[in-house]
Amino acid sequence: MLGKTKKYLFAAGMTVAMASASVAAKADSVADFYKGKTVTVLIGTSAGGGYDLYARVLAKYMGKHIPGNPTLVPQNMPGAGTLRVANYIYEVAPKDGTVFGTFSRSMPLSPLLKLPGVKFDSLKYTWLGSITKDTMTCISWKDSPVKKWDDIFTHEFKVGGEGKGADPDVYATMIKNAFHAKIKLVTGYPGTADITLAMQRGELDGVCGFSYSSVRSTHDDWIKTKQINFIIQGALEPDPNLPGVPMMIDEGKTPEQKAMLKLALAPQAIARPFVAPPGIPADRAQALQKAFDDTMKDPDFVADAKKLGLDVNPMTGAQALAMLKDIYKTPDSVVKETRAVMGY
Amino acid sequence: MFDAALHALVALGDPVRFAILFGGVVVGLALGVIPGLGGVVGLTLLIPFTYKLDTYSSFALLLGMAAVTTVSDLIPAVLFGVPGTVGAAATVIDGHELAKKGQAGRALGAGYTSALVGGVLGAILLAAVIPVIRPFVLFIGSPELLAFSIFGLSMVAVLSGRAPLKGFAVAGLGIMLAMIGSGAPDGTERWTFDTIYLWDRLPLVPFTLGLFAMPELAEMAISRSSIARDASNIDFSLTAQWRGARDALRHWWLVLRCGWLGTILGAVPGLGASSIDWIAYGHAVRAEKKDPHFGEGDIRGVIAPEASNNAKEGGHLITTIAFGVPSGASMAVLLSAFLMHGLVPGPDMLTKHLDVTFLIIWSLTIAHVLGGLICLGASGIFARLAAVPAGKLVPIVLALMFLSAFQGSQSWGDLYVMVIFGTVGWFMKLLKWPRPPLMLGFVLGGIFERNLFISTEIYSWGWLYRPVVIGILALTLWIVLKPLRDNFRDLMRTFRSKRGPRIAVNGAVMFNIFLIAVVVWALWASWGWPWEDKLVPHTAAYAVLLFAGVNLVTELFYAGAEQAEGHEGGRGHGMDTVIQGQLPFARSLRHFAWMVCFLVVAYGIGLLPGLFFLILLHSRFEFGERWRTAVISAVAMTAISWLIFDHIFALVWPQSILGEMLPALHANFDFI
Repeated sequence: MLGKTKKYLFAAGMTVAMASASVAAKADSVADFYKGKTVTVLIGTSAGGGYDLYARVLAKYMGKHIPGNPTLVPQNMPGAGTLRVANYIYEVAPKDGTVFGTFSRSMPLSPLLKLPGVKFDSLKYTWLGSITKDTMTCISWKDSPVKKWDDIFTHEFKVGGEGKGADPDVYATMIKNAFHAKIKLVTGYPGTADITLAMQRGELDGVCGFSYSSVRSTHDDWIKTKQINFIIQGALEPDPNLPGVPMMIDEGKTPEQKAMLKLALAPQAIARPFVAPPGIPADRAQALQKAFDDTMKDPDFVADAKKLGLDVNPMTGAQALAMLKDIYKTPDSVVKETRAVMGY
Repeated sequence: MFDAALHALVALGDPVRFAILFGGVVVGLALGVIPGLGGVVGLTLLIPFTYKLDTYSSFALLLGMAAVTTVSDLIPAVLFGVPGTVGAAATVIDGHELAKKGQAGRALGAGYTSALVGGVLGAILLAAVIPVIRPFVLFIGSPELLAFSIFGLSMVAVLSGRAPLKGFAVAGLGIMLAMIGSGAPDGTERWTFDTIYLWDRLPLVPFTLGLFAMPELAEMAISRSSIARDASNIDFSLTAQWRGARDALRHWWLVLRCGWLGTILGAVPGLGASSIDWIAYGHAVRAEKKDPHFGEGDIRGVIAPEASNNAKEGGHLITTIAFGVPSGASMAVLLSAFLMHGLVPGPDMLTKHLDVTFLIIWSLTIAHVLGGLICLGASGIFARLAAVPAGKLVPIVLALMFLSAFQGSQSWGDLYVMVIFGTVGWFMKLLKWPRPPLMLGFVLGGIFERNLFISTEIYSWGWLYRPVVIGILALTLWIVLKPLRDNFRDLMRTFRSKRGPRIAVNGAVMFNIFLIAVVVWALWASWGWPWEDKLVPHTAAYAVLLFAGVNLVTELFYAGAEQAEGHEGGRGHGMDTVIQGQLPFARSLRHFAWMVCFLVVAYGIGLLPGLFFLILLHSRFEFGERWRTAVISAVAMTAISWLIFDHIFALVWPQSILGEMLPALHANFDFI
C-alpha cells in the first residue's frame, strides 16, 4: 500500500516539476497493460530440475512487483538442452512483455562459440537478470587415487560424461586439453545422477562440470562427511564454500589461456538467467527489470528460496548484459581456441 | 525397522492424511485414463500443493497419485487400443482383442486384479530389500545394464511370433529409430533432418500412440463398428469383471513371476516403463505353453504386462530412495519433491528417515489396493463404451489422441510423428508385420548403445566376465534358443517347399521394398559419420537388409507356402476380410486424408480450433451423425480440452499461421 502511494507521489512530483504528464501516463499505461493479464514464464527444461525450481519460485513472487500485478504462469518447454526455448523467446514469443523465460547458463555463449542450431543474438534479449551465480567443480569419490588437483597429472582420472556438449563433457575435455591432464572421459551416461552412482560403485573416479549448488542440493551429506574431494573450482570469483580448492583461472599460464578460461567460465556468473524477447516496449521492459530486482530483495522470496535450498546471489539485467558484452569482445583467435579446447 | 514401519502406518491412519492419499488416488486414476498424461504431469501438478503440507501428507498425496496411473491406463488400452501410459502398450495386444470379442469387462477385471497384486508385490519387495538395498543397486553397473538391454532385445525372438524374419527386420529398424537425434558417442546429430526437434530423439508418447493406437482407431473408423465387433455378445454385467479377476487369480503364478520381474527390472536404472511391460509380455508368451493364443485375445497377455507394469513402481523407488538416481521421468520429478522437503535420498533414507521410506511403501500399497478396488467397481461403466458405435466415439478419441501426442514435447513435430507412425503401424497391422519388436528395438536401442560404449571403454572385454552379466546372458540364450531353432527350421522348410505358382507382387511386397529403400537411404545419408556413431545404427541397418531381404524372397517366390503371421495376425476374420472390399479401401484412404487435412487446418488456425472442426466435420460427414450430435460432441470436447490442458496443465499452445498473421488475436486467444 505504502509503496503504491509513494509511487503516485513520485509520479505527481515529477509531473509538476517537468510540467509534463508523459511519465505518469507511461507508468499508468504499464499498469493498465498488465492489469488482469497473464505473463508466461517459459522454462527450457522439463519439470523437476534446478532451472524449473528457480523459475517457479520466481513466478510465485514476481507478479506483485510488476505494475498492474499480472498473474505469472510457469510453463515448461523442454527441448534441445534449452536451445529450443532460447530460440523461441527470441523468434516466436510475443514481443509485448507478456512472456519471459529461463534457459541453461551456457546458452548465452552459444552464438559466440558458433554452436549449431542457434537462432538468437544473446546481446539483443531484454535481460532481466540472474537469480544467482554458481561454481563449476570437479569432484572425485573418496576411494579414488585422485584426491587433489596435482593428482590429475600423475594418475588417470576417469570421469563420466553425458554426450557431446553437455557440461560434464565440455569441462572435462577443456581441462584435459588446456592443462594436458590425464583425464579419461567416459561418455554416454543419461544424467549426473547416473554418473555419481557409477562413481560410488568404482566404475568412475569422479565427474567434472558438476555445479557446487547441485552437489549441495542433491548430496549435502557427501560434503559434510567428506565422501568426495573437490579437485578444482571454476568461476570468475572464488566460492566462499570452497576454501583451499584451487581456482581454474589461476592455473592458466599465459594471458591467452586465462582469457580462454574466463570465456569458458563466464556462464557461472549468470547461473540462473532470465530474459524477455528483444524489442518489447521500453517502459514494460523497465518495469519487468525493476520487478525482477525488487523480487530478489523481497524477504518472502528470499525466505522461500532458502527453504528450498536455493541460493540467491543476484545480478541485474544491466549487469548481465554488460558482462556478456565484455565477453563478446574476446578476440576471434581466443574464441576459436576455446571452441577447440572445449571439444566442439 | 518394525518400529518405523508401524509408526508410518499409524501416521497414515490419520483420517486427514488418509483422505489426502485417497484424493491422490482419484487424481492418479483420472490422469492414467487420459493417454499421454501420467505420473510426470500429475507430480508437476501436485507438488506445489505440498508446499503447505507436512512431509507425511505430501508423500501420501504424491505416491497415491503416482502409484495408480498405471492401474487405470488399462482402460483406454483395452477399450480403444490406446495405451493410457506408455507402460500399457503391451496390454493393448491382447486386451483390445478381448474387447473386440465383447470381453472388455473380463479383460479389465483381470487387468485390475493383476495390477493390484503386482503393485502390492512391488511394495513388499521394496520393503524386503531395505537392509540390502544399497549393495544390491551397487552391483548393477554399466556392463549389467548392457546385459539387461541385450536380454530385453532377445525378447524380439519371442514377440515376433510366427513371422520371425519380419520381427527381426523391424527390431533392427526400431534400433535405428532410437539412434535419431543427438547423444551419439562421438556427437554426430544423427538423422535429424536439420531440425532441432529431432535432437531430443523421437518422442515416446506420439510414437507409441501412432504405432499402436492409430491403427486400432483407423480400423474402427473403416469398419464402422463399435469396439466390440459383434455387439450381440457383449457381457456388461459385473460378473464379467469377476470372471476376469478369477482369471488373474487362477494364473497367480504368472502374476507373481511378472510382479517380481517388474520390480527387479524397475530397479535397473535406465530400463523404463516402456520396455518392462514388453519383457513381461514376452515372458508370458515364452513360458505359458498351455493352449496359447497370444495376440488373439489371451487373458494372460493382459495379466503379465499389468502385473509387471504396476510392480515396477516399487522397483523404481529402490534406486530413487537409496541413491537419488531416478529411473524415469516421473521419478526425476519425485526426486525434486524429496529435496523440497529437505530429504536427501541416500543412506539417510534407510536410517534417519526410515519412517518416510516406510510411509512411501505403505502409500504405494494402500494406493494400489484403493485404485484396484475403485476401478473394479467402476469398470462396468467403462465396459459399456464398447458398445458405442464408431461414429460417436472415433472423432472424440481421435481428438484426444492428438492432444495427448502433443504432450510429447509440445511441438507440431509430435503430431507429425504420430500420423507418420500411425500410417506405418496401419500398414504393418494390415500386412501382418509384428509391431512389438519395433517398439522393443526403439526403447532399448539407446540404452544398448550407451552401455556398450561405456562398458567397453572402462572394462574392454572384461565386461563379459562379470558374474551377473554371465547369468543374464545365459538366461537370454535359454530364452532365445528354442524360438530361434524353430524359426530356422520353419524357414528351411519354406525354402524346401514347392515354389509358389508365380511371382506375386502385392501390397506386402511393396511394403517390404519400401522398408528396404528407407534403410538403404538411411545408410547412404549416414555414410560419412565417424565409426563410433555408425557402429550400432549400421549394424542394425545391415540386419534389417538381411532379414527384410530374405523375407522379400519368401514373399516373392514362396507366397502361399509360408504362413507368416505375427502375434497380432492370425485372426483371419473380422477386419481382414472386410478390408478386401472396394468400399473399405476408399474409406481407409479417406481416413488418412482426414488426418492430413486436420494437420493442415490445425497448422493454419490453431490446434484447438482445428480439433473442433475435426470432431464436427468428421462426425457429420464421415460418419453421417446428425448436426446436433456433431455440434454437441465438438463443443463439449473442445471446451473440456481447453479447460484441462489450458487451465490445469498450462500447456503452451503451438502458434498457427493465423496467429502469426494477427498477433492481436493470438495475444487474446493463445490457442490460435
